Amino acid sequence: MKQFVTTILIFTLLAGCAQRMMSPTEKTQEQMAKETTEAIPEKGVEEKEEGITPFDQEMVKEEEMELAKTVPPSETYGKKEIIFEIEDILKDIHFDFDKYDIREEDKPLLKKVADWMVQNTGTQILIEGHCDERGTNEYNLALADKRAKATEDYLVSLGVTSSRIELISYGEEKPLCNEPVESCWSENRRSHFISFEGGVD
Amino acid sequence: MRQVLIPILALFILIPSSLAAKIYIDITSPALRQLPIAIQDFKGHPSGKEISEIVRADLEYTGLFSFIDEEAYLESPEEPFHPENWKPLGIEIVVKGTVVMGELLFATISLYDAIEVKGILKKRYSAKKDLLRTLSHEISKTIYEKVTGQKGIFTTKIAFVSKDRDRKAIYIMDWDGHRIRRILGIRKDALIMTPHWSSDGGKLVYSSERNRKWGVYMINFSNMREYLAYSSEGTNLTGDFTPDGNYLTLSSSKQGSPDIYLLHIKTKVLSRLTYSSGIEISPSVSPEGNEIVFFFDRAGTPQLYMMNIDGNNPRRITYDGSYNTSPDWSPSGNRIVFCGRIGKKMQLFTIRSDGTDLVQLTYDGNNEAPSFSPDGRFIAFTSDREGTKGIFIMRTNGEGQQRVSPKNLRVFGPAWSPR
Repeated sequence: MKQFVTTILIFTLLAGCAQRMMSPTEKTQEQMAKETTEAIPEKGVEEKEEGITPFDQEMVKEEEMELAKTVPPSETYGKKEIIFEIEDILKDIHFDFDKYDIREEDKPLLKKVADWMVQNTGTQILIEGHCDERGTNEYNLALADKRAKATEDYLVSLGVTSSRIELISYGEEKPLCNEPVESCWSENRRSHFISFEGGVD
Repeated sequence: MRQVLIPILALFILIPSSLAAKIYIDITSPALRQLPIAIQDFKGHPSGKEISEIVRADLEYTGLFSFIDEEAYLESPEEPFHPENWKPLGIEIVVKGTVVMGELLFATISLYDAIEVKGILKKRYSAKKDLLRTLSHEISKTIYEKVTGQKGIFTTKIAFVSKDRDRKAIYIMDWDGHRIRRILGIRKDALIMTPHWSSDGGKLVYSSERNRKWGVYMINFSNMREYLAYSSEGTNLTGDFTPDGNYLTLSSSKQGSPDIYLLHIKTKVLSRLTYSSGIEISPSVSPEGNEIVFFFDRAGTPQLYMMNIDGNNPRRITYDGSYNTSPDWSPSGNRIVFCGRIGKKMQLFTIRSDGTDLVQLTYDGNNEAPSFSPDGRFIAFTSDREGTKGIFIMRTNGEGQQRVSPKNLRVFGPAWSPR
């Protein structure tokens, strides 16, 4: 019985509250507007001081940021820096689509490079790996990395010491041409050689 | 027991629904219907119209709301809310607002429930005048959160890389393409690759080639400084942060062919996760931080694989198509978006993290580099369907595809901010 009474009491109380909310049609517009404001459930009128997020306050510098350590290019390559490309000998070699194997027709070219390096013991070379634009940028960086490595491995197998070779992958980021056609794509799928004297840092 | 239960049940039924927060749209429900809403022009200062337009566009883009022509409205913005003006039009939620311009921009909005006939929210905002769009997005966020219980993407940003007069730069823009600004420009020939956000939005990490070396760099927004996070021989490409922010996933070819590593950011300790002679790149971490989805070409063609965060239990998850790459794990957990080749073009797909339920989302042009929004309901990506590669956004069901980056900017690598 006690529990029944409690139940009734609760119902009554709540019914009373609910009723105030649920039959506004009898009231005037004015009353309703006022009541609406009062009936705001959580905290009443909320005052928000700023519509700005910390991110906006602090960020957004429009000027260029320089590198924490900016090294001018000339210092990177040691004391005696002469960069040149011996066009006759250090020609680009090329690759099939999606492959990093050295092609048969390029082997004589690489032999020339190896012979030249063996004869000119002071020189160092940089091998750049490149891809055509097809495929994602990241995959092409990885593929071009493999192309540069495969080229190095082949030269090492012909007697060049690996300490004289440096590698860099450029993926599809530094193409020679931009037309979306096979003649351009095949030109971009390459290893490119740059020769240095005086050491590469 | 039953006698106690009855009064308790009664309490739940009769308590004003505001205390047991009513969810107007349950976005987890598979049978989603759009909520009919009206956002009236905000009265007062003329900028009120612009603000209410931004709010309308924000909510409309979510695909969760339906709007009718304002010509059909029976009540003007100046008149107070009366449910009988809205019920016949089928409109359930009404938003009214007032804007005042002083030293700052002030906006006050009120939300009304036309069905239960009551006010559900009143809130005031203030901001510097040049942050009108930010203020508008905050209003959208408030409404969306009230109606769905979720925060939405209205105040989020997209970071990306662009080529700007011959040099690469990192830019940030609002998710809707506005307020685009450059935050990092570097020396002319250097390269920058896709940035990744830390889960608190306080840092951006990206790979950059400088002086013929690939390193992983980080911008800390608290002091706007750039740090070198990792450098070594070979090609180093950063992947996601782990959700706890302590580690970076990355791929490096320092040991031969590109493998995936975990880098502890503070101690610089590197743990190797993969060992094959194939190419393993593009790691993306699950929202719980316990698994990594990545690209691997062991099968002869590039496919997506998954492994535990410690490198154990690697298994393949994509089988369709001959070239699947660039995965991004949805922050809501169970789907992965990626880029796959069909015919001669790259298209975007989503797949469940167990490898089932493959869905194609794009068909036009080449579409790549997908990045999920923090609520997992939208995807940013690049597309060349209009000529120059631009950044586009869409809902995760493929609807609403539209460009957000400016037409004259060559862009790639969008990354949606976590907040």
